[in-house]
Amino acid sequence: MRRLALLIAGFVIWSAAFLAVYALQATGCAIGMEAGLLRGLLILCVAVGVAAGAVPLWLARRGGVLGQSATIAAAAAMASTLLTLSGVFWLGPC
Amino acid sequence: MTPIRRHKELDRIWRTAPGWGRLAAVNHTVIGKRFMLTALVFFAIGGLLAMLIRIQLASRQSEFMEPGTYAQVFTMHGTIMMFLFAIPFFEGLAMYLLPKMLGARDMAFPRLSAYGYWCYLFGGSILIAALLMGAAPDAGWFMYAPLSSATYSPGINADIWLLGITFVEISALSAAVEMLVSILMLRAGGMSLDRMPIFGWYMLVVAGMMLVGFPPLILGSLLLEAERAFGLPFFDPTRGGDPLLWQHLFWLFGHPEVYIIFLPAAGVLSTIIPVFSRHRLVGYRAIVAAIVAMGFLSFGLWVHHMYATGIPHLSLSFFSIASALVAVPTAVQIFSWLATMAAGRPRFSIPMLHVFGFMFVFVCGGLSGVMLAMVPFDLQAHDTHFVVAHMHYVLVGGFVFPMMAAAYYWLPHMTGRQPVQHLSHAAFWTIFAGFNLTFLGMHLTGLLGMTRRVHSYDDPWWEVLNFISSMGGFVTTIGFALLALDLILLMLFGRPFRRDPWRAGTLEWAMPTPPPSYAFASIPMGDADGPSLAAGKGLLATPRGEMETLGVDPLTGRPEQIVILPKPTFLPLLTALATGGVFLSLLFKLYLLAPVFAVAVVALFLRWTAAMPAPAVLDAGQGLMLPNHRAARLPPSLLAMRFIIAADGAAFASLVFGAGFLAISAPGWPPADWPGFGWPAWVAVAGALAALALPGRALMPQVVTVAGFAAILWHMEGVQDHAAPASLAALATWGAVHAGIGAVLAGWAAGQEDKRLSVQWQRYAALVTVVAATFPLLLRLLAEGAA
Amino acid sequence: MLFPAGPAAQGIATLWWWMFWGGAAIFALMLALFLWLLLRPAAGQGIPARWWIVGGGLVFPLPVLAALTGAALWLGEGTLGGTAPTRIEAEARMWQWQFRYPDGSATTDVLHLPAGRDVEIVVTSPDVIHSFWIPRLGGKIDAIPGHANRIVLRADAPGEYGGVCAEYCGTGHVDMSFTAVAEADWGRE
Ligand code: HEM
Ligand SMILES: [Cu+2]
Ligand SMILES: [Cu+2]
Repeated sequence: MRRLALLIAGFVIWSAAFLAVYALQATGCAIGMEAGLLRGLLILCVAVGVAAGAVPLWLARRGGVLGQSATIAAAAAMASTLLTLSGVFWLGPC
Repeated sequence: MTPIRRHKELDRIWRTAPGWGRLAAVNHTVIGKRFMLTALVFFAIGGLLAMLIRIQLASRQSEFMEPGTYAQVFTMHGTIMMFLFAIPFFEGLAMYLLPKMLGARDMAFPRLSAYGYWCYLFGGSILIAALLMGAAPDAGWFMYAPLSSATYSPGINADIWLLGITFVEISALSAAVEMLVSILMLRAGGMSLDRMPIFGWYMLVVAGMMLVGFPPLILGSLLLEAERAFGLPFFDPTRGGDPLLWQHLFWLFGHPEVYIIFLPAAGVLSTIIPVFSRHRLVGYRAIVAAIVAMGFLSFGLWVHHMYATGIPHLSLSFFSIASALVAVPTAVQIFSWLATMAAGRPRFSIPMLHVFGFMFVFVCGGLSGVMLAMVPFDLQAHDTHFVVAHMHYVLVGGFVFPMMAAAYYWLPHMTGRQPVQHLSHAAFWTIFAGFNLTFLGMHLTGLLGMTRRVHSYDDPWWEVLNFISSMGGFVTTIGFALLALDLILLMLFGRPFRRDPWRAGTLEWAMPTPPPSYAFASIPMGDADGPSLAAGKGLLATPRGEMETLGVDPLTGRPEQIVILPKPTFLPLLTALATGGVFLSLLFKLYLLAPVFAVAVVALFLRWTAAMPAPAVLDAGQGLMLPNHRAARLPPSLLAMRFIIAADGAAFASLVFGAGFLAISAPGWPPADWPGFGWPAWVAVAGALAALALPGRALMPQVVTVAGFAAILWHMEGVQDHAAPASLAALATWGAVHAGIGAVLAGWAAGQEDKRLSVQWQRYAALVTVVAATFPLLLRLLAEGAA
Repeated sequence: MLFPAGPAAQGIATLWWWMFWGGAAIFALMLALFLWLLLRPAAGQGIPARWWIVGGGLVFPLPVLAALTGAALWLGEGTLGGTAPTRIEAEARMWQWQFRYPDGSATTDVLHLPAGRDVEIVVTSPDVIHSFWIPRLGGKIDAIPGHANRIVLRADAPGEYGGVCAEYCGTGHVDMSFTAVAEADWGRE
């Protein structure tokens, strides 16, 4: 079961980052947070998400059953976090 | 023991009795076929409705149907195709195939398969009955509030959708749990996960998606029904509700849904293409990663159905990019199939013809999908016939064509007869031509500005295009009729064959066809072929009078236990009838009757546990001694309980999200006076903490929790006046129900040696209680912050 | 949408034609590959598997998707969520449109716009969800009860443009169309 968890870990992190950024942005806009501050927080969230994505990638390096699939999935998840949320760097926050 | 004698003895144990005994069937082959056949009947009904739509739209200002009738027709067409055809069809296919591909004799919970089937049949029949009586749902298949709320849809129509579909979804959830456990635990000895047939991987991910994808819809339906029936204003903007909440909950389910439909079809393709390419599947590991990626990414797209609802552009960008990104794992799979074809020597045959149909139609639909993912373009194309064309390219290309390939490929397995190829080509080309004739031009109709769900129009150019589409629709229907005829001819006159006509090499072909009730005479261990299995060279070759199959370690496939499955029984049917009683009493507003049926359902479910074997260690053959599942470290039921909790958690998370969403986004917040839970909340929490501390003796603690929530609900005021008290009442009800289930389980477990099932639930229910009881504080914080 | 009459619709039409030709090319390529492999068995045996999967699954789609999505977001950032000094209120109800202008006047099912100038249209609904759409001028915006949504549109030249309700809103949905009249001398300020 551990190996199975490793296979999905990267994308679980992607989901968490996605939800966190989406919720933070919606809440920030709703409570009228200052734009610069909101963008800063969003970027921080994305950075944490990408960094956390490195953990399963690193763990999967040791190979074993499903090791290669886990490596691909973790790398894909890490890239997905950065790409899907890349709007925070250049689009208006609200 | 001779193969013949083994066959006779095994069949005596496993077969379904004839006559009335059929109603007690639990066997996966029988139930799987029933699912598929029933789904095909619904497909025919949905197709008939499509023809009515096409007749209506064939000319301008058509008088064929009134607007109200037309609304029922397109709503039911969409609803039937999605909920009563596509999902149940692949569930049936998976149920039929999975055990046979993985080397098991049945699914992990055969009675649950049967129960799911009856729920599906009864729920679907409620919808069809409503259609015949002219009281069918009419607000579109996504039932947007407030059009579907009591003010604007006062009749029973919307209730039929909400309750009927929820009833049907019970079967989807039970199938999800069942597939997860079966794939993970019931396999051939030594079949590790990374050597499992790829179809197993697809269904594993699909089942996981269903487990978290369906709960938001079920929750949303319950909330909307609560609003319609009891006036709790979750979606009414004049009382602190928000129509957008419905859209979020619906599409949180609705988008993953289309991938839930596509992935099993992709699994079929990944199985068939290597066989006809005469080469093993290339890129197995990349495909596994791609399926996982698709499974997750498809949950990050739901807002692409809501681009026009006024959500900030930055939020839209997340969903737009994710929508574009999901094309990447799709491309990985398609190119793996191409690589397989390149590495092998493809041969042409009827299933491959349908694979070509898939390639052509699905790639086209995928490309228009990427276009629609682009926000500005979607703002033009949204809700037009461009979208209607797109979704049919994806659904027909990504599901119907692969399923037709599957039919030609596996019908010989079900019937033991090989195709007679007279009509097969004609049927394919008629469907293919008719389909493209119907929907290719429809892209243009949409781009010219024709919106969907209209029953008449004025423009003469649109009439030309629509007329072509209608003709194409009739051609498609003729094609489907030819296909049906061809398949019937195959069943009647096909040549019988001995094993494995396609030289496939997967385990489902290592058995006689049509398959015997017990599937495998002995369970494969390591490399196995049909004759040696029949000769008893596998595991569990000696019949002992019980329905036995092998349970393995989920990862490595090491044999771990002997799972003893339940015999055919009428209990699933009775339980489904009682469940139907609950839904019908809600539908006809007999609110005093509903609890009576609910108690009957609980009592019947408890009856299911009566016939459990005693813990024991048994001889599995080949010198292997294994515990039966009652004595095993991780019995299938325990794993199932974890998945049930995960699904329930997804619904609970949706509820918490919903309340929070209203506090931030809905107009009319914060409410004039804040409802609180007061002291009974502490009683509920105290009960929960006691249950956590003593999960083995949780009966009294859970009763205390129920009492606490009951007191909260008793004191609750103004639930019909504002969504804030309504949400809190929903949370308290949720807590009470879960603690109540906890109490029942604890009472049941008191008489059991093994309390692990109950203990897991007690822990989870306690967590729910703590969150539900403290949530009012958080909600207040959110609402005041937003104000 | 194929006959744009304003900058918002123009941008989308340009995007569409790019996507159409690009999509057609990709479609032809995919189909050709498939048929080539199917009808000429052993044709592709010289190409290693990795090339197919990495090339077709990553190297090819990623840049294409990135360029397309980037361009579309850039386009969206310029047209969505903007504001304009001239504001018209549109109220959608079952099943007609009420337009109110800055000078206090109002019309039903006819929308008068100044030609050649950005206008902000604020869309609301008192009953169910509707959607405001003038195909030749730009995208849609939903009229959702409890929310006020806005869209900025411009008609380049005076003339009449058809408008509809795009979200199904009950039996009168089809009849819920309106006419947008762009006028050179508008005079409703
Ligand atoms: C011969 C085959 C089919 C034809 C001719 C057909 C025709 C149509 C048409 C014309 C509409 C648009 C109705 C409108 O906007 O007024 C429609 C809607 C729809 N169709 Fe089909 N269809 C076919 C098969 C399918 C299949 C196989 C599926 C799914 C597996 C499907 C799912 C849907 C859905 C979800 C809708 C949306 C319904 C709504 O707007 O509420 N259709 N169909
Ligand atoms: Cu979608
Ligand atoms: Cu409408």
